[in-house]
Amino acid sequence: MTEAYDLKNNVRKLRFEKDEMTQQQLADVAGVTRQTIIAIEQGKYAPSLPLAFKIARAFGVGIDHVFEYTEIDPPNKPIITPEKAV
Amino acid sequence: MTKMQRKAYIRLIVIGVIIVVSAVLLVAFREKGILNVLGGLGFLWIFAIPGLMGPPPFVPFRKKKDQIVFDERDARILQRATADAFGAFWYVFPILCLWLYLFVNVYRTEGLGQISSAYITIMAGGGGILVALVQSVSIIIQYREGQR
Repeated sequence: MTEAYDLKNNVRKLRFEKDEMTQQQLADVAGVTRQTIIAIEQGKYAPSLPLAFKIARAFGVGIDHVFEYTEIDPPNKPIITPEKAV
Repeated sequence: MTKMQRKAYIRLIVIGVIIVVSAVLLVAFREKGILNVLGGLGFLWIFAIPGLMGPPPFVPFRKKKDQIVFDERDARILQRATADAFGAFWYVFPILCLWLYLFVNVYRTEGLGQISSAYITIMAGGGGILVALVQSVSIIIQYREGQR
């Protein structure tokens, strides 16, 4: 079952804070195309973990400063008590 | 626009031309009554080749030195588009086989079990075009709509 989630990011904000870094400059540092950076900024693409780390490193911040993960309508998972888990 | 997007658009144009040219030739040959000379409809497979091979090598893609033109997003899009294309193929191909059996064998040849080899060529060529078509459309949609 796929979980619904919302992945927000501060890439655009961080770019401007980092000496108004261009999308192309960030793309070059992260090793991707400019279109991928655009897609990430627009929330159209969720990057892989290595790419997310590369982007965070380009800004010199932690990954959680760049990306915010929120579960939308979390599924009603049954609570597994220690007795049931056995 | 990425290199893969451009390729997808070019392939769609090529496939469009293939379909139009094939339809025109088909009608023209049928009217002249030389369809059988060309081996039925089998000649159409010739037109499928450019569609399957994608854009010709002389189509220029401007690329700066050390510019990245293919990354993890492109790879993911291509992987999904290929899966879509072959998924579509395996839905359509059995239907084509069934159609071939029912329409051509049962209705046209009154169940004699004779099917012109031209139909097989069309199915193979058509299948190839279908794969290229669905893959290209899927690539364009994924770039436009985004994917996760």
